[in-house]
Amino acid sequence: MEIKVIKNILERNQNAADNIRSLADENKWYIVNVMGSPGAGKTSFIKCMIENLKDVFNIAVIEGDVASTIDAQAIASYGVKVLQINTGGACHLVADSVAEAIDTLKPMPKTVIFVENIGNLICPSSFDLGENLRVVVSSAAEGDDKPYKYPMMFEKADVVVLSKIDIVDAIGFDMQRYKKGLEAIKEKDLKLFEVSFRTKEGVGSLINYFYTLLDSYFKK
Amino acid sequence: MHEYFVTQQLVKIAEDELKDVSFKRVTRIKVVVGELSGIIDESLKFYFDILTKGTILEGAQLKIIPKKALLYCQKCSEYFERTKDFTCPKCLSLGKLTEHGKEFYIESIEVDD
Repeated sequence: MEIKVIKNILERNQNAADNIRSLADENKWYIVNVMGSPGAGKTSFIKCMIENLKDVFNIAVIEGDVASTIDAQAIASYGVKVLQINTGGACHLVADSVAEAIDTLKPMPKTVIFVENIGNLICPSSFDLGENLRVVVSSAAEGDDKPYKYPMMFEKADVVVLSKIDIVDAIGFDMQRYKKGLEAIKEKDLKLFEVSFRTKEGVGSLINYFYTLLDSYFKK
Repeated sequence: MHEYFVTQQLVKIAEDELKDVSFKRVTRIKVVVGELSGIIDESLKFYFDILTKGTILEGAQLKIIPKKALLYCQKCSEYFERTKDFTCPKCLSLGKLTEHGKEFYIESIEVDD
């Protein structure tokens, strides 16, 4: 006997993510899921946001990491609430563990919660964490072919931060090829920011974008 | 590596589906896996064998039905299989990703009555 099922295997995670979304809505939290390869600049992105926005907005950070607490310690030194989730080997965060982290952190209403996902371009893209915004930090150092090789990661991104643009010329990064790949993937308008967190090039417009976005969200 | 997590979910769904069904044993589970779903067939099978031990699914075969990614060319109004750089093989304009290739679901469960 054959029993027809047709059931989405990620349904349970989806339910947990939907719960987070309604909690966030009630409390006016704005959740940003930060994804990207190891070393792409996810922590640098979050640090940059904290440095420039913490005087205006409440900020909390959930640090996903396979094992260490290196990033959480670095973030804690800025005086914002931070909680480390060690996945113990798993390659992505799931909504259940983010819900637990939020429950422990108890962010006050009107808080921006940055969630740093585990570094890789495959697994995190499949898991909704109940976020308001998905940011992919993609560094020039990884090469201009990443949108072609990991289309799902970029397709689901609302914002792509191309980091380390100070080395573009040195490594022969083909910006046109990279952008063409993104253009093919994105159905809706993609926000692309080209930045270097080291030289601060392009960082101003990234900060402005987030400032405007968060300001209008919290004023609503 | 997220196959461990998704296999846990898969086993749970199958167990739930079979709760009110009378059967001797589960023979096969068919799972549809799109090329772009990020799921590695071999890992799925590996974890399936481990995670079904001691459950009603032990010994069942995991049958994976692969689905190719298809891109859509707006100029030609045609779907085409993914090329190296997403360009339409006919007119060379840039194709768009579609839902084809992102599938990941249990299609059916087969049991011996």
